[in-house]
Amino acid sequence: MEPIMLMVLLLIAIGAGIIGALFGLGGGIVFVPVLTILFGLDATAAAAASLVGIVATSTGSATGYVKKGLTNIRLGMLMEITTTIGAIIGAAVAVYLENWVLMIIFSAVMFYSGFKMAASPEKIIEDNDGSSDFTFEFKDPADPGRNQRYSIQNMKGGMALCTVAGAVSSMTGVGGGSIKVPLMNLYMHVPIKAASATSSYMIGITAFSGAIVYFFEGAIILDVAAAVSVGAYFGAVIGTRVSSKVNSKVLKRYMSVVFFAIGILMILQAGGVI
Amino acid sequence: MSLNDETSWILRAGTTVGLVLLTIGLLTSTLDIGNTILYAGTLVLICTPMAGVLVSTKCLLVEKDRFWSKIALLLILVVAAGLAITVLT
Repeated sequence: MEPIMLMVLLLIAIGAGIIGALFGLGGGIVFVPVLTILFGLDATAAAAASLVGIVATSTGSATGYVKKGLTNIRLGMLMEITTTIGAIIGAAVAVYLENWVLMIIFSAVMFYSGFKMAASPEKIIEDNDGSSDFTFEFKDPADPGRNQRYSIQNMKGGMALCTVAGAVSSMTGVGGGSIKVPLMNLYMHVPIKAASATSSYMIGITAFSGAIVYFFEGAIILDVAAAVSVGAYFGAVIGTRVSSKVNSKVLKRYMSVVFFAIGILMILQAGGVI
Repeated sequence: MSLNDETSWILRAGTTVGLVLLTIGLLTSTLDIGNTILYAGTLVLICTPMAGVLVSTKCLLVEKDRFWSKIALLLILVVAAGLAITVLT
């Protein structure tokens, strides 16, 4: 690819990385249409480069979030088990389902999540004795005076829904973070910042499984993947710094806007417009 | 070091090595060696999240956190099974 085009790709990836780190998303929703429409890559090459970019967004943001204790590694690993199982099931049944139907369902989930994010106040349930395996705490850098303790609710239901999220994600090629963040925040009552940070950590593990297969199949266009990754990483580092200064309520409000935007993008993709 | 510190360290190390190689690879992409460096950088970057899981698992085993150690080992098994199914089909 021409050096000037790689520079443009780098700049777009920085923007995607910032959004990804702030809201716990991978960036696939941005990378895939940009690479296919603006750069003329076929769907497989775009998906392969996008997955490497998602790994960079994930590791770039997770490095900072894990160090600060915002990422819940234990919860992330537990939910990643059912997400991966869902992704395997999704890959197997994808051939029997129309992609546009899935995208419409996915966009409906995004609109619902966006509305709930905007309308519902954050509900955190504290467990006073702290003896449960599912009680955790973290320190919000925007509110450093106290440790935030939370007890995860609806664990079994959350894991089951993660299977659905993994299946939908592998069938549509996007959606890892955009389903997991509202699921953790609205249904399992994980504080929004911990949910975003945990999602950032998880999407790297999910992307690894797809990216490593593409890598050994030789499907990754290396200079494109490198430009996407370098840009996404620096975007993610900027995003984590911004996130530590933003109030949870403000983050949640902007997240609802992002979900509405993803919903619209998915409808456009389903209709073949982009 | 704690679970968070060690996991953060390996993620940072893997990402740094991967991105340095990718940047050098981009700058030398017109040379023969450029493609080899890009290849190595991409592989290191892709494997970094899984390296994080392996280090987290080691920390949980050292801490004798039996419940979460089992969860971590199960995740590694599921990811490995997923990869095997993808490759075989």
